[in-house]
Amino acid sequence: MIYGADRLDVESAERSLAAWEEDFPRPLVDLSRLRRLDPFGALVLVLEARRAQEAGGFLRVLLPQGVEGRALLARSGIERLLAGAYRADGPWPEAPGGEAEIDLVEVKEEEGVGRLVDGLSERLLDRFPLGESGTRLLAQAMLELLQNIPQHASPEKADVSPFGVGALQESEDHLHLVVADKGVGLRGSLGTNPRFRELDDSQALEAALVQGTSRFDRPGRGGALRRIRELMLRNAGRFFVRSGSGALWQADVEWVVSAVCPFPGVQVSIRLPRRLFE
Amino acid sequence: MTEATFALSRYGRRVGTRAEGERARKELLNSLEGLSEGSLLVVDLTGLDVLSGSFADEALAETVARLAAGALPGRYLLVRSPSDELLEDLESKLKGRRLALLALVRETWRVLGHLPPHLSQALEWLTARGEGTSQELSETLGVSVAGASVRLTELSRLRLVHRVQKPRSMGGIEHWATSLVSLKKAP
Repeated sequence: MIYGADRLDVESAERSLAAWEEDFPRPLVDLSRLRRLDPFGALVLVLEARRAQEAGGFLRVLLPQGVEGRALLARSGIERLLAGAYRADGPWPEAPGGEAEIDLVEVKEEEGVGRLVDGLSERLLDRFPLGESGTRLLAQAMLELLQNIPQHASPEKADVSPFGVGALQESEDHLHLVVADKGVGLRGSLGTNPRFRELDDSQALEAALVQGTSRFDRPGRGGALRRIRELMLRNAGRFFVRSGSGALWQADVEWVVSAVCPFPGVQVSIRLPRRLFE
Repeated sequence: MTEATFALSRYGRRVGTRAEGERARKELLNSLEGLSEGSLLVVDLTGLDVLSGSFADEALAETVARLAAGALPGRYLLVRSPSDELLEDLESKLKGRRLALLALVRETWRVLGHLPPHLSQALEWLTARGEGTSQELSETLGVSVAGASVRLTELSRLRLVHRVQKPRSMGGIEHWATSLVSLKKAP
C-alpha cells in the first residue's frame, strides 16, 4: 500500500505505521511529498528499518522530491541509524553543510546513559544559558526514560533486541524529546510479573503511567513514567506514549488512552514549551 | 554528635541511573560504617542539578530502609539540599516506602517522606528543645509516659533522633532523646 504523507511526526505517524505494516518486512516508505519530520517520526522510521532488517527485509524508500523535504531528511541525521536497512529511489540526500537538526543517541547499556544525558544537557545549556529549569526537566526525563530501555525493554528470558534510541530537537515554540525502543513494550515488561499477566496494552499503559506500577514488587521501584507525566502536566508540556496497540495522550489536564496500530516497544514523546528555556 | 559530610556531586551534576545509585549506596554505607556510634552523616546535594528518582531510591531510600531495619546502630543520616525542588523525587520514593528522612533546606529543616502526625509532633517538640525525656514529652503533649516513650523509641528506630542513656541523680539510668538538627522548622 502506498501512503505518501507530507508529514511524519507525532500527530501523523499512526497512519504511516498502519500503511507500512501491510508490506512488512518490505514496507514502502513514501517520503516523496515530505515537508515535516519531527524526532518522533524520525525514530519510528529508524525502528521500522531495524524491524524490517531483522525480519529479513528492508525499507523501500521513495525519497523527497522537493528541496525542502530533502534538506529535512538530510538534516535529521537518521541515515546513520538506518544501518543500510533500506533501498531508496536515489542517493540519500546529504546535509547542505549545516549541522544535524536532531540530536540522536543510541542507548546500548545503562552504563552510558549518564554520559548521554550530560552531553545533551550541556549542549542545551550552551544554547539556552538561562534555561536551567527547562534543561533540568528534560535531563530528569531523559535519565529515567533512557535507563528504562536496558532495564525493561528486554527483561529476563525475552529474546528481543530492544534497540533503544533518543532524539532531541529544538523548534520554534517547543523542545521535543523522544525516547523509543522496539523491545517487549509495557505489557511485555509488566507481564513478567504474574500479577500483571492479564493486562492488555491499554491497561498496561494506564498501570505504568497513571498508577506508577512496576514489574518489580520491591518497594521503591516504578513510578518514573507517572512522575514524568506529572512533571509535564505541571509545566505545560505535552506527553504522548505508545506501546504495542495502545497510546496515551496527556494534554492540558486530561489524559486519553486509545487503540493504535500494533508496533513493538515503547515510544515516548515529550514537548516542553520553549519559554522554559529562555 | 560528630558530623561528617558525603557530597553527592562526586557522582556528577545529574544523577543518575539505578546502577549508579547502587554504587553510591555502597559508598554511603561504607562511610556510615566508618563513623563511630552517635555520629551523623550529612548527604550534601550542593552542586547537583538533577537527582533522579531511580538514583535517589537506590542510594538514599534504600540506605534509610536498612538503617530503619536496624543496620549500623547509632549512625544517622540526613540530607542537605540547596532547594526543595531537588528533593521531590527522593521524597516520593520515601513516601512509597513509608520511610522518613530529615532534610535541611537552606536554614530550615523538614521531614521527607512518611511520618505519622503523632511522631511528627514529638519530633518537632524535641527539635525545638534539643533534647528531652519521655517524662518531659508526656507532660508537654498530655499523653502517658509510656505513650511518649513509644514515640521516642519509634523516632529512634527510624533514625530521626538519637537516644542515649544518662545516669539519674537518684541512681539508675534514664533515656534521653537528642535532636539531630537545631534549626527552625520549614513553614
